[in-house]
Amino acid sequence: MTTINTKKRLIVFLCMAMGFTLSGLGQSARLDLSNLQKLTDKAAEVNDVTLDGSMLQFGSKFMKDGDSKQAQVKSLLKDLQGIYIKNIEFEHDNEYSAADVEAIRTQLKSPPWVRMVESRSKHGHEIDEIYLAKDGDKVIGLAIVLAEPKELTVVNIVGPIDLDKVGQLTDQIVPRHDKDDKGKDKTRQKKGQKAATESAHENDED
Amino acid sequence: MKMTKTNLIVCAALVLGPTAAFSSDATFKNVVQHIESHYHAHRSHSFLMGFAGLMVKCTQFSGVKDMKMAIFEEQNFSDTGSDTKFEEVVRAGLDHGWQPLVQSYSRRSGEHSYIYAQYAGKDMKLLLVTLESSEAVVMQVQIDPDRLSEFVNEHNAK
Repeated sequence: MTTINTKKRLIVFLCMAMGFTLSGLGQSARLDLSNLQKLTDKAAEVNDVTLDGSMLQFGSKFMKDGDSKQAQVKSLLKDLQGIYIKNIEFEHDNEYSAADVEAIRTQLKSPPWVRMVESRSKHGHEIDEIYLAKDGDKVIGLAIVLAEPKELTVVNIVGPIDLDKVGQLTDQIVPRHDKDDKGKDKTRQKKGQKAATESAHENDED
Repeated sequence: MKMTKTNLIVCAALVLGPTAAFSSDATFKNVVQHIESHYHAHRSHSFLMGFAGLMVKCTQFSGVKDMKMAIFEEQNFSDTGSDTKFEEVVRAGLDHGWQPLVQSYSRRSGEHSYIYAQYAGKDMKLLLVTLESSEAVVMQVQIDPDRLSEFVNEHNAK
């Protein structure tokens, strides 16, 4: 009787342990970037940022609740478990292989990852991708892979991300681009009008 | 028997506590020693830095509890590319409980920058190392995040 109870307990314990492990694995949005370490020997420039949850909380202590922008950033950082950035720049083209990037893409091919954006340059020399890690409707991580002939950048944000908040914050922090774009648009419009008038004149002359 | 166990725990705490503190400080010493020996460099304002460290320790101004700083100015650090041991010495800090926050290296300019952090109870220790072509700075500070954030927020409000 005691042996049966012990066995049951052991099975229950094992199931619980496996359950926790699997749920942990399934929801992990942390990428393993250790394969990029070997590239640093060939690199011209290496920038490596590792901010885990405790460091982010430490940083957020210096943000004021009174300031709306800072309060928003603070609330974004509140639940984040880490921000990891690896940027490697090379002196010449193709000093890293496709296999180096593939080792990261392989991790992003399986759930919870979903590819949101893929941009390839005309000759396929540059591939930019954005992935989201999702748990149901919630975003629990973000990965950005920018592979250029001379530069490789991987950004990995781990933890729940409120995309609405990010959008609002982006609008507040970078309003200049809009203005610039509007300015550029006006210039473009003027140029377009001028070109149209000129071509109309040419047509009339013909 | 109970006394023996308690004694053992107290002894372990007494031995391991200072060892942990020593090992995190060892990284600062090792990096400074490497710069001094490998590049035959001399610290600038060493007396001033020592005095500043002492003042910080006594006053604990704005939540900064401890500060060690070594500045090397107008020295020849142009050959950092061949100094493969420098990174090893800094990275050895990871074995002493430091966590890397920022690591940056440029082969073009020969510039190395490292920021490492470590928790010390409710305080935080930060190690900053920069090595450029003509100057280097190695700095270690222990801060009380709450007091420092209070100080920063107070001064931001003004």
